Order: sequence, then structure tokens, then C-alpha cells
Amino acid sequence: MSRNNNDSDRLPRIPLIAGLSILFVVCVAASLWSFKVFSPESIKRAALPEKKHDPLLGALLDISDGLDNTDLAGKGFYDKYCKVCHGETGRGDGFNSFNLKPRPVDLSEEIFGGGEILTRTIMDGFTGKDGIIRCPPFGSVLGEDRVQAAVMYVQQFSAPPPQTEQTRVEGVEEIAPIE
Amino acid sequence: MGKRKAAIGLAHYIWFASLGTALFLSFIWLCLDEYVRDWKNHQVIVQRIQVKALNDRIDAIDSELHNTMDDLRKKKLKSTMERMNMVLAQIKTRPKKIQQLEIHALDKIDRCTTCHIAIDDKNVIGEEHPAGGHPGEYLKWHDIDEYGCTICHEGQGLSTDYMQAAHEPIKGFDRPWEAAVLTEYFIESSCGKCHLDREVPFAPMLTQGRHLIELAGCYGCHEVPLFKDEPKVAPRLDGLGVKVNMPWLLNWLHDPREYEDSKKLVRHRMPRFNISKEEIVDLATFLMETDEKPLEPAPLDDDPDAGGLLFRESRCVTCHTIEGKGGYLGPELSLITTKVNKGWMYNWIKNNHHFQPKTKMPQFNFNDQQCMNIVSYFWEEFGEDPPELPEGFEEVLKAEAKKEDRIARGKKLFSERGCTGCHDKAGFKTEKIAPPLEGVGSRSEYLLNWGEVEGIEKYLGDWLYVKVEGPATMDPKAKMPNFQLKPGEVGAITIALLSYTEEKIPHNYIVPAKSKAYPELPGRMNRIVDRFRCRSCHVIYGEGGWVSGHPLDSEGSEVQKPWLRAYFDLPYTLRPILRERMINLRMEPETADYLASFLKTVMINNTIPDMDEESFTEEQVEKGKELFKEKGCRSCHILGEGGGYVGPPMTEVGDRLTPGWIYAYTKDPNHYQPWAIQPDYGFTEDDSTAMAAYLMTWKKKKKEEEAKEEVEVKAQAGVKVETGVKEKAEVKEQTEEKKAPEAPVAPVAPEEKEAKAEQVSSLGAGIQPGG
Repeated sequence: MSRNNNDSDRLPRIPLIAGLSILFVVCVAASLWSFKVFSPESIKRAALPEKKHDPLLGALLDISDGLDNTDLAGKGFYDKYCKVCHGETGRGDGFNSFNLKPRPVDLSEEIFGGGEILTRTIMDGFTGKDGIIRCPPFGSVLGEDRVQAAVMYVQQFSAPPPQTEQTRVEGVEEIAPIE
Repeated sequence: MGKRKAAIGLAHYIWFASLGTALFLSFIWLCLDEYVRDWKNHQVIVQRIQVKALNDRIDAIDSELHNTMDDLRKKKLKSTMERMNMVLAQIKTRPKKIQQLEIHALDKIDRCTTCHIAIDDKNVIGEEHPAGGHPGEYLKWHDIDEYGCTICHEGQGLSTDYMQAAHEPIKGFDRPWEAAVLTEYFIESSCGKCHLDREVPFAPMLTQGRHLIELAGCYGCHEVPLFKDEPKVAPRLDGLGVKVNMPWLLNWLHDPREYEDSKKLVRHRMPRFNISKEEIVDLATFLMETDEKPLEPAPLDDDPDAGGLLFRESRCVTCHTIEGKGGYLGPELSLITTKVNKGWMYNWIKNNHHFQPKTKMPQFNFNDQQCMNIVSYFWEEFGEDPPELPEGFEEVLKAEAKKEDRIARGKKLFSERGCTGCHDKAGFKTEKIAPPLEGVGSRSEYLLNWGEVEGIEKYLGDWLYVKVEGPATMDPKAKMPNFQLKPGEVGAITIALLSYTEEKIPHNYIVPAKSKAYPELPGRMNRIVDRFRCRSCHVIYGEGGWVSGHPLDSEGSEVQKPWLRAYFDLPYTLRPILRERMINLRMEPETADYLASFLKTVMINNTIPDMDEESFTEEQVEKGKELFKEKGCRSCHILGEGGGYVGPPMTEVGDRLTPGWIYAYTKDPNHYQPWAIQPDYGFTEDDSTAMAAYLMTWKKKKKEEEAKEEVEVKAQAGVKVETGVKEKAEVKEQTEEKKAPEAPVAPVAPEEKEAKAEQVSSLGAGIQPGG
């Protein structure tokens, strides 16, 4: 009987050992996992604390109007050299456009979506069929880099309006001035 | 006994087996973890995206190659395609390994390109990182092998793990690296590490921030890098008692913005100080106490109408505002009667440099009666009501306190609160009471005192933002006053502040500030420039220029002497698009003579040739005429009939500019005026000479002749001309709508010379005060 008992004791021993050791390893692994030691990047990112209000970023987004650095620089060049004829929003309704015949082109038209035509026009100017220059060449005054930046900005006119993250901008006035 | 032994044996078994298995599994895990790295995945994905983008481009070129007929273009396309195929092969066979940039000069080792392996690939700009290319041309200017990544972007360059590299811009105390990765607009603060000029190209926010620091005068109280030895931004406070009244002073010290709501920062350099009403009264009492000698008595009789005329003729609105409209150098004038008293203002107009030796206002040439007329004009126009006391001040004023005590307390406050940083006052030393701002961008975030601010991301940028926006938010006892800036302005200033890091940048990486080593102006000229404060508007030898960007350094080579001399007598707006206009200084004839000769003899540029007008031939004139038409100059310049409003009118240019200047400027406009809109058409010497020859024919005389001819033509062509005139009238209307009330000077018909003079002098009255 006792031998039988011994046998019945001995039989589950190996699965018991295996089961317990696996349980141990799983526990260790799970605890490591829960501390995000080995977890993949996406899980680490998701585990980050929720982003709080960031007034500096909000203010910067506010003045940049959703434009990135390059476009902001491009806007500077556009405002200085192009706005006077092509207008604030590129519709060809600038201050000087009323003195011009034909009127300056509408930059929000689709053909200006591609960069190449724009780059060529700004660099070398645009000459009408009668041989008279309509848009002066700014290539040598601005240089390639600035022209490129201006082109990037002008392309925004024909692109759909960028979707800015409202949540960020909203928080700008949350910190009230001292009373 | 045996059972116990067996139990011990079992426990040993379990321990041994579990530890053995654990060791084995962790070894496998270790190997796997070492083998399976995020950057390997990234490299595979990036490669796929790069290959796809390149293939797309190759396809596009391929289809164009089939369609185009032009041999030259075909050849070009083929070579492009070959090059692209080579790049494609390169990308496909790129080994998967850790990439590393070693920049010994900057002491940086960056492995960022391990994941951002396509950073210099322009085909993938706009893809999600790490697959994206670097936007803009920044890598072209800063070679990646020479600069690396973290000198601008910060973060832990050695790491190849997303978290360890400190990508997350938002930091808690558990972040792995002190300086987190900078992206978006924050990156501009890094530009300022090496770019020590105030204007940084392609960094608009940093430039604006530095400009605002200059405007707000932060260097009054702080030591600010790049702003050493700047003049004080505010006026002297000596003899305030004879100038202003107590209620105004209380208003001003209480809340400058409440007293005068203006959108321009330049008016709000006076911040709101964090002091109690009691302290304000103390300070005001101290400031009103004066031992200044009494003012000169003003003449008794006055003529406000004549004063108003003089006010408009002198174009005071070029610098001053009237109800928010006008220039921005001087104070708002519609509120001036609530601030100063009549006697002081009379003395000020008569001898302003005595009161404020560093004022930007010129010393006008008015006689006593004229000064009084102008003063009376203001009191007639804007009334005499003293400002009301701000709320709660009556009780404080009524409260019993010894005047001596108040003065003593006020005196202490004056030096304690750093008033001397911006204002001069006899008997006070200039002290910078606030901590220096050098290295503020490297301040440890663990040491920041946030006070009671909660609910925002706590990193250095936000700390500076909150501090600048409202210093008392974090520390109710803060000495720093509130400048009441708009959020955008605070943001820009914060970016500029973050650029003052402690990082040591090697000399050859630094872009130094433009040096100001210019010669001094000699004797009499210096006195004239000082008296008329020419440098308030113009740049002379690298100094000044708050209104007009046009330096006078080479003015003598640019314009003709008779024109210059006449311009001093009756200045007018050269460029109709400009809002600012040269003021009428009413110089004595001999001063104007001297000034004209000085400019013509000293302020010249030797690279501008001396050309003789007589040497131009008819062919050159004809060629110039063709060129003027062909290049579309009329789009921007008025010449005779019609033209644009961008550049100055050219109708009388033959009387104004020298032929040498026209030659030199049209040949290389960028060299002479890099800021000008004038395009560079790549003129040859012949072209420029022809242009000079043609434009020099446009003189007043010629205009009169042409006008006569035109009248004759009009008489002949009747109806046609009429429609033309109508169209023009329409155009004119539209422009006037656009730019009212500062309507540009329309091309003036030649026969109306006198009318023009009138129009020109009435420009100063473009903004009618008092509505």
C-alpha cells in the first residue's frame, strides 16, 4: 500500500516541478513586464503619463498659425516680395495688383500645387507672350534656398487647410494674468 | 525521517529545476532581446519606404522619357535615371547595422541615424518618423557629418532606443536624459547657440524673440548675452514734478495698460509692478519731489489753428500716434494733455534735448510763438481733463502719513525695484538687480521653483513662459514686473531665452554678430545729426534706423545735389507704399546747404561709378526704353502714365538719382541694397548703361513737354481717351479703398506742380486727429 502510495506520490512529481518552475518564470517575467522593462516601444509610449497643458507650445502654435519652421521662413519671404501683388492669401488681390494688367495670377489654383512651375517662375520670372516680363525674376536676389522656402509656403494656398490640433491651441489663455 | 528527506529532496528539485529553467529562459530572452532591436525593424521599414518612393520617381521619369521629344531633356532624364538606379541599388544592399556620427569638435557621438536612416533622403520628406527625411534645407547648410544631430536636436545621441534617446518632449522626473529631443518650434532655440547675430535666417521665432528682448529692454535688469552696453529704454526721471500731475503718475504706476490700451509693445515697455497701492503712492511722492529749476514762462497769447497747421506740416504723426494711428516712436498724443502740463510742454518743444538728452525726437526749429501755438492746439483738441484716480487710491492719499517718510520709502523702492535699469535719475547708480540670463537655457529642471503652479507640463520652457507671462504666478513676492505681453510674444521671448545655454561651442561653428566698427561722424555733421536726431529714423554708419531701413552711408553717390537740397526744404514721400514719411525739419538754409554738401562729399561709395550724362547716345536711350518695357518695370514703378506702387515713382528720376547709381544699382541690386525688393535681371554693363541713359531723360522739363504733347493727342483722339481715363479712375478708387487713409500719392499731372506741393505737405495730416 505504502509502495502504491509512494508511486502515486512520485508520479505527479515531474509535472509538478515543471509546472512550478514555469509558474516561477512566468511570475518573474510578468513582474518585469508590468514594470515595462522589456515591453515594445509602442507599449512604453502608451504607458506615458497623459500630456498636460503646455502653454509655451500653445503660444508658439498660436503665432505660427499652424505653419512649421520652413513655412514660417517662406512666409517671411512671400510677405516681402510677393504679397504686394499676389495678396495675403495668394488670390492675386495684393495692394499693387490693381495697377497691373493682366492681374497677378491666383496662386491657390491647382497648377501651382506642384513645386516645379513655381520654383521656375520665382527663379527666372514669368514672361508674357509679348515678351514683357510679368513677374520679375527673384532667383539671384533670393537664392535657391529662400525660393524653395517660399515655394513650400505658396503651395499651402492650393493645399487643403492643415488640421491643427485644437486641443493644444485652446489652452493658451488658461493661465490668467495676475489680478 | 525518510519522508522528511524526500520532502527536502523535492524542494531541492523544485528550486534547482526552476532556477535552471529561469536561467535558461532568461539567457534565451537575453539573446533574443539583443537580436530583436527596434532599430532593425525601423531600418527594414525605412528601406521599404525609401525604395517605394524612389521607384515612384523612377516610374515618373520613365513615363516622361517616353513622352518627351526634346533630345536635351531626354539626355538629362536618362542621366538622372541612371543616378537614381544607383542610389536604389545602394539602398537595397545597405547593411543593417548601427550608424554612428562622431563629431569630435563638438564632443558629440550620435547614433540617431541608426533609425532615422533616411534623414538625408529628400524623397521621403513628410513620411512619419523615423522614416521621414529632414524638412527644409537645414541639412544642406549644416552638413550632417560636420554637425551631427544632438547639437541642435538635443536628446541622448548614443542611445538607439526610443525612450532612452529622450524623444518625448514632455518630461517627468523619471526621464532618462536631462535634455529632451527638441522638435517643431523649440528647435529654433538651438539655432541661437551658434548664431549670435540678432537676426537668424530661417528662424523667425528666435529672431522675433530677440527683437522683443531688445524692445522690452530686458537688459535693464538682467545681464543678457548679445545685449551688452545697450542704451536705457526709458526716459530720465529728473524733474518729473514739473512735468506730470500726480493722478497721471498714480495711473501709470498702477497699470500702464489700463491707462493707455495700445497694441504695440513699444508702448508697454513700462510694465506693471508687483507693488501695493501704498507703495505706489510712496513711489509717486518721491518721484514728484523735485529740485528742478522753474520752467521758462510761456507766451500768453496763442493760436490753436496755426498750431494745428504746424503740427500737420511737421508730420509729427510719422513718430507719434493720435488715437492709435501713426508712427510708433513717440508717445500717444491724444492723451498727452492728461499727463503733462502746458508750461512743461512748451518748454519741451522749445528745448527737448535739455530734458531728455537721449530722446529720439529732433529739436525742431520753432520760435516761441510757434511752440505755444502747438501746445495750445493740443489743449484745444484733446481737452484738459486730468485723469481720474484709479480705484482705491483716494483712501490711500487721504491716509495720514508724513511726506518725508513717504519720500524715504519711495526712494528705497526706486532702487530696490530696479527702476534704475531703465530710467536714469540723478543720484542713482545703474544696477542690474536681476540674475544674469547667461546659461538660463541649461538650467537644471530639478531646481526650478514652480510655486503653486499646477496642471501644466513642468519643463524649463514652460517655467520660463509662466515666469515671463506673469512673474507673480509662481512667486507672489517676485520683484520682476509684469510686462503684460501677448502669449505669442511670451513664446517668442522664451525661445530666445532657451537659446542662452552653457554649451561650449567651438569658435569655427559660431556665426558672430555683425560688428559695428564704423567711423565716427566729424564735428559739425555730428552736431547736426544729434540735433535733428537723424539716427532715430535713418541708419548712419551702422547706427540707428528705427523707421527707415535705408542707410545714408552712400546717399551722396545715389542722388543729385540740387534734389537733395530741395528735399530738405520740402521732403515728400518717395515710395507711395510706405507709411512713414520724412518729417519737415524746417532747417535753416545754411544747415541744409551744409548737410547736402556733406552727404555729397563724404557719404559716398567708391564702387559707384561717376558717369557723365552727356556721354549717353540716342541708341542707348532707345535700348533702355525697350528694356524698361520688356522687363516689366512699370509693374512696380510709376513712369509717366501709370505704373505700380511698389517702388518709387520714376517720372522725375532724372532730377533725383545720379546716372552712376542707376547703372550700379540695376546691375547688382542685391549688392547695394540686399533688403530691397528690386529683382536682379542679370543686366550686362551695356544694359545698365542703357537703363541709366533712358531714365536720365526723365526730368521735370521733359515731363512738361510730354504733357503738352499729350494734351494735343487727347484733343485729337476724343472718345478713346475718355474711356481710358475712366478705367484709370476706377483703378485709383480701388487702391484708395485698399490703403485709406494713407492713400498713396497718385501720379501727379505735370501741370499741377503747385497742387502737388500742397498734396505733399498735407500728407502729414493723413491722420486727422480728433476725428
